[in-house]
Amino acid sequence: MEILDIKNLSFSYAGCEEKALDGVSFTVNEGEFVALCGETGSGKSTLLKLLKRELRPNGKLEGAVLLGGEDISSFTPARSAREVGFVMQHPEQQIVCDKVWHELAFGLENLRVPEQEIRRRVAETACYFGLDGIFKQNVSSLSGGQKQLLNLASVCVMQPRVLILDEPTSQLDPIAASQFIATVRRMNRELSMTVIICEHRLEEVLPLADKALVLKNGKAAFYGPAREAAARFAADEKCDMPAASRVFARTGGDGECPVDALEGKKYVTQNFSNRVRSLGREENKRSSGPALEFSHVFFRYEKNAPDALFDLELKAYPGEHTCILGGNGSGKTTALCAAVGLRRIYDGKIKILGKNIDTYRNGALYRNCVAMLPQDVQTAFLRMTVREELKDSGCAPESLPFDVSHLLERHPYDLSGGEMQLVALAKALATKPKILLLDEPTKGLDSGFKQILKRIIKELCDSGAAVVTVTHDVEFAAESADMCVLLFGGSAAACSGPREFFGGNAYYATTCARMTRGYFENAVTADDVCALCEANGKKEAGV
Amino acid sequence: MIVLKNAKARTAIRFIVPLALFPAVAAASAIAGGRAYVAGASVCALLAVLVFLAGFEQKKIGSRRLIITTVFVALSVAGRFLPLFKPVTALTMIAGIYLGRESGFAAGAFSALISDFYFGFGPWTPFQMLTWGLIGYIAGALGEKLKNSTPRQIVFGVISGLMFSALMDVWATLDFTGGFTAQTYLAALVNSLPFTALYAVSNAVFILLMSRPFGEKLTRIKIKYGI
Amino acid sequence: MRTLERSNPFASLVCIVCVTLTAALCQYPGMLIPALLGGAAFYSLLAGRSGKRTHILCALLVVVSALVNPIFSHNGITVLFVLNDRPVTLEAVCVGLMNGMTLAAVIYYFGALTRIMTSDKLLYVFGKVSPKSALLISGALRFVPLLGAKSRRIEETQTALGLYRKGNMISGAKNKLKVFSALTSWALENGIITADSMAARGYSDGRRTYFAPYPFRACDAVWIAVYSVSAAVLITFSAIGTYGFTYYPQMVRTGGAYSAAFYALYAAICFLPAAVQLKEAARWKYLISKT
Repeated sequence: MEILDIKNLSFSYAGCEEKALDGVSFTVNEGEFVALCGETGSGKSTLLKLLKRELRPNGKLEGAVLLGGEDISSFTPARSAREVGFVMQHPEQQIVCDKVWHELAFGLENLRVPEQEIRRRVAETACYFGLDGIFKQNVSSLSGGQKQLLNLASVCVMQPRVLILDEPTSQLDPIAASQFIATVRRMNRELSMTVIICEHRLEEVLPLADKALVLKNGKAAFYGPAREAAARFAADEKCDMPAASRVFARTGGDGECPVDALEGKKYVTQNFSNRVRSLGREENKRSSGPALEFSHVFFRYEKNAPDALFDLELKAYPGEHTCILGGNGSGKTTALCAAVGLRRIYDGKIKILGKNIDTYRNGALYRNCVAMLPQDVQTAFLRMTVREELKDSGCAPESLPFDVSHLLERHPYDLSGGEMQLVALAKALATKPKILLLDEPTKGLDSGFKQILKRIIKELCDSGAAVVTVTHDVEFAAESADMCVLLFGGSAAACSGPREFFGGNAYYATTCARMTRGYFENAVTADDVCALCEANGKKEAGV
Repeated sequence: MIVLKNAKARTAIRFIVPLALFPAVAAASAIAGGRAYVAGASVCALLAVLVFLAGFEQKKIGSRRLIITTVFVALSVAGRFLPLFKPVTALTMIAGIYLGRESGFAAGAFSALISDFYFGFGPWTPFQMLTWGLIGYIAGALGEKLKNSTPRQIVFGVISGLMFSALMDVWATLDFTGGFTAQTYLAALVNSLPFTALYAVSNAVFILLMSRPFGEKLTRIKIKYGI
Repeated sequence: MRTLERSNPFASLVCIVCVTLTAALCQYPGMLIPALLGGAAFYSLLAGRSGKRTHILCALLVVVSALVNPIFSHNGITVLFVLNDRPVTLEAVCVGLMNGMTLAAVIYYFGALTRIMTSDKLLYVFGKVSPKSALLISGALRFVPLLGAKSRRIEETQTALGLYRKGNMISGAKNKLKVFSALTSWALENGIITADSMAARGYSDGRRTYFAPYPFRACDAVWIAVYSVSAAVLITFSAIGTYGFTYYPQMVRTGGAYSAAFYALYAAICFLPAAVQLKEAARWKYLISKT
């Protein structure tokens, strides 16, 4: 049964001639799971916001959105809240109240549901979403993943018929992201809730989706079965299709397009032989001592707290990109903060460019030496325009290895996630650091910006700087690191080049490594797999 | 829910309570002395706060204005940890100017309440709520007159800083000595003079430095999101 | 009887306000001593070891008040000694002592109230009176720690970018002000998204229900009735002079033979919260010893 009917929807933002959306039409049946794909700026977010009346941005709208045959702009606020649920990107910003139970009740209070009924619905919702253990806690004590789950729950407590999610997992770590997606999937299957989701990382979402809508420059380029979308757009790097589909497209596969690791493995093993099992290992090009060295470092936040860094040994060499990976609470960010002197270690030694960190005084550590960009890059901005920001830190825009000139007059908060990252990076580079520390630089970025970031890091390394990145993004690490370190419980559990690192890990690995495990060796990126497939050649049909 | 249906009655009460009833109680206690007036004044303050909040409850301000008011309250409380500056008065004033008198009152009153949530409640809580609330309310009533003139804002900030000290000294005198006499009140005023002076100066400096950027920020938000 | 901590927030509020109001209005030694002791006991039971600073503050307050009052007030006939040609009287010292004790008692009771009134309960009280205010309080309580964390992060980032140096007081304050300004931008911008999320979940200016996990039970009614009636009786009879105490010019007990009954009634309502609290603790011990 048809639930949503989007009719010829066009939209242009206030004060902007260009159409952000141009004549998009599609229909969604009840209980369908629709993935929305497309590069940044293709109008994904705009489209989703237009589906929720309260979130429609200022601008000129044509066409209509019909829900169950009625235009959503004719709904009362209560009806609109009850029919369409919307979860946004940042977990933190959507929460209104200070307690978990109050946040869950918030929507029902607005709908003027009687207290007794609220009690029942809040209780059953908390149980379904596994929030019962944290029901009475302060919201500020929750992790990002829990917060986003709470946002989902406090929308679903109103039992909406359509659930819209705008990049809900882009700010979460991979484990929390999988859990979140699994919950959405469960709601779709068990409660036949209609889901429309937009994600950068389609790796997990696309295999679950019934249909996919691909947007290009504000127009619907494709709407149909998800697998077909993967097959058609896998060759387009900017669409971020799953790795299996990308390998399929690049090796000229035909037939059914694989969308997850299992199908990808079938495709590779059935179509290609494995006479050549591995590519060469990375060679070591080191010529000097480490730029950053942790030896037997111990740190804890409070006297009686457990050690956040426990006998940590870590070396980062000039000219190399070192990636630190690991779960939440493994001490990754703490290690970075210790390296810039924001945390005082209680035992061990940190050497910066061969000298003990304590010998740097009066801010000498931050001049031509170390600079760090935190996860939350917004904290780097204090001014009203990008130009003032750069002037403050003494950065000439022309001298940068990337172009920010088109952003100079904008307010830093108006920039997209990727642009913000670039401007913050410009501020960090103004100190001419020999060691650059980045905390989760790829969080919330699409593949276009990831490519730019990879290029910048490469150039910095080539000029002799040491770049250390803390990341959850295994694909990014596999593609750009020279060295990968796995942190666990505050100490380094493994340390090697990316091929060996991800090839050797069974669980903490890239999709490509999982896809080819036991068949190829050390093939960790789509490039690797394609190169090996090419080297081996296609099997004859029927062999 | 407290709602006074008659708008005229609401307005009347809202002006009579702080402008007539409150000074009357203070004067009575000055003449008669005694502790009864401590309680009387506290109860008056509480009632006045409730009447003002009824106005806030009635006012249609929408979710965005409500949240911005909330942000101002949170900033005031968080700002109490700043060294040298105590931005509550300035922030309350700005909230009043840009968000209207009801929101100004709410911003001031709840800043006091939430601060006391962290620093401890006391019989002074209604007093503080009323005093700060009134600062916001009056700033809101003056509105446009203050909006575009930093000197006027500074004058307002200094006066409200002095007013706050003077009113809180009334409370201190009432509670400490049990009776209210001109002599003890004067002593309390003299004693707190250095703090009052510092408070007034820091208010002035804070407004001088922050009022324009704050205005710019609010204007930007208004344009960007079309409020 | 259920402890005030576990009662309906309205009951806790009414009881504590009644006790302190009575203490503030009726200044008799026979009443202030139970008020102070009852308050101190109740506070200690709730606060445990963390209440040490309050105890010190209260003790200081009583002493300072007893020493300061004779400097301002020279009423009274029992002259202890003469200082700077002004008499220091026993009565003035005693009045100072009483004032200090009243204030200390008030601090104890409100200290206990602060411990009891968690944010949930504060919201409950305001939610019943004005739902919009309750929402504002809840939001503010959520934003305050958020802002604190954010301002620390901004400082750290600025330090790591070499733009934020700890220097003297003035430059320190300047830096803090810069951070505060950035914090404001962020909070406002963020707030708009929060507001949108509110609107998306059906918030509008009209009426809304208020949900809170605090039912009103018979026990709460008992608390409220006992305390408001007792306070009314005590204050009324004190006001019409049935029982009383004067300090100046000489300390004399006034009023008739029933005074003792009033003192006893007041002592009872002062010690009741602590006693119920203690009983509950004892019951726990008993239950644990049985298993």
